[in-house]
Amino acid sequence: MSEIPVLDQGLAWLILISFSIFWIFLGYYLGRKNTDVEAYMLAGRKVGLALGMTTAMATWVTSNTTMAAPQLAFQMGIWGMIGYSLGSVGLILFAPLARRIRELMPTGFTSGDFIRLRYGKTAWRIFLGISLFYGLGWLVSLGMAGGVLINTLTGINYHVGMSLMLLMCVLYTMLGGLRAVIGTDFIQTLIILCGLVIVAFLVIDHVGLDTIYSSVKEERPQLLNLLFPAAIMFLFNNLLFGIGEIFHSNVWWSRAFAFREGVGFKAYLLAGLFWAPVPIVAGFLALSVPALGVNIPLADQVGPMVVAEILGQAGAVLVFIIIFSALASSLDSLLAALSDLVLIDIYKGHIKPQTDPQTLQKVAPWIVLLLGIFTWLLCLPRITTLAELLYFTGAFVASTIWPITVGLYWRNVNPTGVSAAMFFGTLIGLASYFLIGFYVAALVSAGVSMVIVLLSTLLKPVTFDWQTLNVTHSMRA
Amino acid sequence: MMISLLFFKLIIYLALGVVIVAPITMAYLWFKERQEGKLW
Repeated sequence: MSEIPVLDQGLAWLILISFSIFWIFLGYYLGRKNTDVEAYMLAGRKVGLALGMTTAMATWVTSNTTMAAPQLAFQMGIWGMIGYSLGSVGLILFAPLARRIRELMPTGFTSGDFIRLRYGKTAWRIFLGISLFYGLGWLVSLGMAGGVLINTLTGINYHVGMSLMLLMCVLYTMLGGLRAVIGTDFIQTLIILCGLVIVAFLVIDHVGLDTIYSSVKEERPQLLNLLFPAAIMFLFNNLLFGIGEIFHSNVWWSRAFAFREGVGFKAYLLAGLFWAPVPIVAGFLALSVPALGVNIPLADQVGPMVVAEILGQAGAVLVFIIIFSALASSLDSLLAALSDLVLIDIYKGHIKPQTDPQTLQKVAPWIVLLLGIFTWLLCLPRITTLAELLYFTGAFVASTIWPITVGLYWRNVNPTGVSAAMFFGTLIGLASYFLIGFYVAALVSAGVSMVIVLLSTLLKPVTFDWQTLNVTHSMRA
Repeated sequence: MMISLLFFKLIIYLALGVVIVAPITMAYLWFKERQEGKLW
């Protein structure tokens, strides 16, 4: 429900429509060069460092980064911001993995390809279950977040905002494939970063860091406490959850396949280093609340409300554009990566194994559209507890950290042990989610999975030939 | 144990500094790779 819209509706419509037209046109323009399915799905496997780094960064800067970081700073203080910024560790740790993936699988398409070739069909199907559940959960949460944020910030009806957001992303992803996603990500990243810098400087200029610090120290000293237990616990859970999300998800794997040789390591490393300060810059705005004396009815609106309070309509416009860009940059990436997984691992892998590359190229945009429609249907009932669903998926994704990591580097991993590790890691992680709390789900799942992978490999090692990974699909037209 | 004003400012300014450097680096790399024909 809309509490206090911070942006004028007419202005909001103007921004929404003009940006939508621009992104869709750009998607169409960039997609003209897609001559085969490899170009459509992986941008021709020649993406350079500039676009590689920005697409990795843009995808990881979601509406959560820009909205939840101020909320966490408001509730957990300094550790809330730093804990959130540790989400960058996943990106940094994925850097060497991206290099290894490109070396081992120069013709690979999805993370599913790796699990199938490395561990066999049982592990592949368990992994697909985990990956599709997580991917769809994230996609639906982003679609809903789009509707909720547009509604909260502007008063535009939830269903209208959510539908527009999804329609725009589906259209340009359909038209241009990964090339459109990466091209729009570049501009969206620049908008987000420049917008954040402007907002931060204006807040520092209007309120001042000394005033912010002294007001927080006087009214809410626990926010500056370095021994805040809840915040420290959040920090570790967020760290593991982030690593699990990145290591298994096809969003990051498809980029590792799409980057030009030698680019993956640098792109992920730089993306992680540049992403780390974003939650701190977005988060510290919330610490100015005691100094400003603003009444915050809902904690998740603290960022936009502080900016609107200090900067008026101009600030509200800026925040709206930043959040809109952050949402689109993640939604499009997820749509593309998830539709790749459906196309290669479900359609070609399970339904029509003999499909030729030309047919796959024709089917690919339709899968994006179908996925968009399915997401839209799931987003229709507005569920407000979706953040909990994302923590719930922590149990699923953390169980894949060990199978992915050791599978890329160790020759003797036991495939049956890996299937058991993902299955029981998820199961026991889920049990701990319900019996103990959300903050241990990822930790328990990763722990159980690690023990099973290590024990099974130690007791019954199975030698693997790395060359097996080099034979995936022949997709060139 | 409370964080000091100096450390608080250090964290914010350091973060802000990196966020300023990031888009400059991206734009520079974009122009450089575009000239070399290595954008994609």
